[in-house]
Amino acid sequence: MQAGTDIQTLSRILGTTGAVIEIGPFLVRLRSRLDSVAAAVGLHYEHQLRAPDTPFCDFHVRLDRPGGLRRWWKPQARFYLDETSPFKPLPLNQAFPLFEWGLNWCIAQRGHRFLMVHSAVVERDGRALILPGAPGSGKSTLCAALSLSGWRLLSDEFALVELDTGRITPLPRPVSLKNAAIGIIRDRYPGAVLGPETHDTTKGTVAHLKPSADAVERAGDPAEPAWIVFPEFQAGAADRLEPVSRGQALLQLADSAFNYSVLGGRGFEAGAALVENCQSFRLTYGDLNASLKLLNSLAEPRS
Amino acid sequence: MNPDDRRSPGSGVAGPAESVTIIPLPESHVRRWDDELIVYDQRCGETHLLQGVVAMLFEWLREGPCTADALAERLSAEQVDGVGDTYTFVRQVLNELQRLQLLEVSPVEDQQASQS
Repeated sequence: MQAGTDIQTLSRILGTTGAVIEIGPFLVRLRSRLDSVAAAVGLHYEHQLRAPDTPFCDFHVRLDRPGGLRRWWKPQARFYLDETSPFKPLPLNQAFPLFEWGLNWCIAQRGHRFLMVHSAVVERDGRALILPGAPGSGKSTLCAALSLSGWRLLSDEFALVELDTGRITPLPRPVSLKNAAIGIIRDRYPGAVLGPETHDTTKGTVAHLKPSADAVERAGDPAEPAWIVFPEFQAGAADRLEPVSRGQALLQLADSAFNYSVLGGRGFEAGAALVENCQSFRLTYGDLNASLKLLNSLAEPRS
Repeated sequence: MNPDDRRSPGSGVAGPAESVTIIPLPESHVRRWDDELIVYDQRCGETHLLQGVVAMLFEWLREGPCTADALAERLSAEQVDGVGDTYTFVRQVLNELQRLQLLEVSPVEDQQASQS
């Protein structure tokens, strides 16, 4: 939040000009008259709010209640980008998750100056660990735990690979935790700042973990990719890290990328350079402690 | 084996009178990593992963046009394990590369004429 902005002021800004949020390389102007959105933005994005008169924004988003009967009966929240609504509305209590999901869609639609891989990314000592994964793979739980234990959060959803340099641009946003992961992170890291739980979403219960101040302050510091780890959660499985060939890694990255086909040859070249600069592994993840130990061992100095 | 017997109906490309090569590809769209070769086809946006002997054959085909028989003889000379009959193996690989539209096929006579 711009220093000293209280929740009443933020609500007023959101309801009028809109609040400008700087999220890594993107500026988002968000307008909303929903109290829950003001509270969530104040909690999660307080250090990423910019002056409301910022002239240019990448995304102009509005989040509000549809009119008509829905104003009173089973009220809903609707997401608008440039005053058009690309999604069906959701129950009103899901307004902030809807903002986060809608923002993912916005970035995936327009962020083509990067190769965008559906992935969590954390960094230590300037080297990025990329965790591509489908929903349910455990990437967000691992990302949250790593970001709360010495790694810097770069992103929970997107590896933004710069096409010219191959570096990973940070996109610090709240980490979306689902279901059992919420309790695991809350119990394991008492200092973690989590927003309220939202129940009965299409993904079950969702709560967002606030990114650390360090992750937000260093949003302008890209990282060199060093490891690609494809997590696969298997309850009760013995945790293990197995090498993946570069060719297989590139095919999996291409499958996980939002815009590999849009970028054409540049996407291939960026993906190929990425796997050439990284060691790639498959992580069978059954126990958080064991998997964290395996992942931390990657970043330990070799004797 | 009679060369004509090696081209049964439906066996696809590269009869004895045909030479084959790989379509022109930008160098930056072909990467070699250990025994893997990955190819990006910008015409359709597909990425192909070739491994082991198949990757080796692909690289031989990129050197210039040759016949299936010449490829099979070269492969036989390498004494590669696990490919079985080299003629059958080469033909299967060529058919697959043709299915992916990565091959250019031309009559041997045309090639000889163009070289003369």
